[in-house]
Amino acid sequence: MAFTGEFSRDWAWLPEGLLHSILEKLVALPDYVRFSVVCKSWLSVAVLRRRLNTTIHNQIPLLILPPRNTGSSDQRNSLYSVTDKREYNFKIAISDKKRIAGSSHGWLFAVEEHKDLVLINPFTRGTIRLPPIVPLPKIGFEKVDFRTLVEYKVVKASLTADPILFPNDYAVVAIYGSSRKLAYIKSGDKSWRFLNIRHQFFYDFLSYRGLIYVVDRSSMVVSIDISDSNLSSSSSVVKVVVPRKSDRPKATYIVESSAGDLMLIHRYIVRSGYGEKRTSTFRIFKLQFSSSGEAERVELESLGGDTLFLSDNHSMAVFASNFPGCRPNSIYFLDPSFMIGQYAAFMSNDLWIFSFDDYSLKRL
Amino acid sequence: MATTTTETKMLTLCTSDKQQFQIEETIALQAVTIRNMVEDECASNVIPLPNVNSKIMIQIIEYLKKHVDSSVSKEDMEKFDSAFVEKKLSEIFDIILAANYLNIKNLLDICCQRVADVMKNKSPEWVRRTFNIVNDFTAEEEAKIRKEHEWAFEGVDED
Repeated sequence: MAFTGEFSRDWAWLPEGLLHSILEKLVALPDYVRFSVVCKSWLSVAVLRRRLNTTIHNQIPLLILPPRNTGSSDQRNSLYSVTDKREYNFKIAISDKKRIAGSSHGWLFAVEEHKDLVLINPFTRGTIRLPPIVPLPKIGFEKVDFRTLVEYKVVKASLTADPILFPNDYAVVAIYGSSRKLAYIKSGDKSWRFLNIRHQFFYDFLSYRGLIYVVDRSSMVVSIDISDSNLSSSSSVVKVVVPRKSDRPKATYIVESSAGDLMLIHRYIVRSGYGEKRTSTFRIFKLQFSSSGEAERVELESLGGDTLFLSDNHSMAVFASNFPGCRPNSIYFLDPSFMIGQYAAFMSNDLWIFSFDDYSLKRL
Repeated sequence: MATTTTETKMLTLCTSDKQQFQIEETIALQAVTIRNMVEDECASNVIPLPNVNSKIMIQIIEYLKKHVDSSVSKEDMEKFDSAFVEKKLSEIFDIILAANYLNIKNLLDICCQRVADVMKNKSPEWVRRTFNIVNDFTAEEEAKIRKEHEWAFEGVDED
């Protein structure tokens, strides 16, 4: 063994368990991939870990850029990293008829408006087709009036688990329609189920520790146990935060911090000249749970080492120091007030960064 | 902690190069391997540690002494830890093996973190040079993996 000698240490053949411990700390996916190219021994550890699928860390979300000029023969979308400020050499093909209504566990939710909801995994190229949330009208869409059409719109969709890892134990949760109701469908189900509770316009939801946490316009948060087949029972829907009347944010996001805390993020807007609206500031709250399952909102002055990524269809937190170029104590967000049309999520120039260090806002 | 020095129980650790270290039991017991040895067979007061040499033992005792002190604030402990791992990679290598053998989880953790931090955003070539690792892939094998994950090799730090 190399304990006593002064000869050089053999990093290639460090015991497997110890190489795992090192690899575990390489959170950013590119670092992880490069680790596996160093030598065969390291590759075997990296592949083993990928098989075990223990890479549970959040990765920096990538923006989907629209295809280059319409004249170009390559009509695929590329991926852009806002923290690295570069385009990845990885192309995905999304039909221009489809809109992305969310992403989770490596899957994208492609909605062809008023048709099926399709999950696409751009890495494995797998697809999962889901029935429409609201049954399609028999008369054909061209005859349906605009107000009815809005009821089919999927605002946000997300998975509770990766269908590749848990083919029989995942669910899709979605916010849809003009009054932003919540629906979900479990693996194997033929139709969607609906959450029928009093609410005002759901803003966001999050799958957290086996439950779905939903926040509405009045900042009320409820937790829902969708594994309970009898959802009307009082035990499966629990009010965790009762709203206060004082503030009315434009939007509220619900995110799990890198330390595992449940956070509510309020976004506020101001109106400037010409009727233009834009984001002015954010407030962050941590939910502190009591033993009874109810939570208190505790306002935080700072995100610490965390960085948040917020958008209407996908929000998340990462620990900034794991990713080069990622600014801690900040929020990267797509400002929907600036969005025009349904394909606006492709517009990278709508990305902003808000810093809790000095409450500054900057367009990226 | 006991205030009278007479009551402070001491342990003697014997390293691979036959050096003996007398340290307070409370400090030594943070290493789970030593704790198990003491609990299992309290006959002898000398604990043999054939997998750790004296040079590394001195550093590990320095770490354990700091971490047994409950008066140190969390912030100061983090400062101590980050200063502690500012060592040559060959030393970190030895401490990782020793911390693993002695079962000192926090120490293993901060050393693995240090190794990972060195590798972050670096090219595989740079990592091989820095860690003195021979590339045992054939050119074709390496090209194949790189081609599959081309995106991961762009934008790394300058070597």
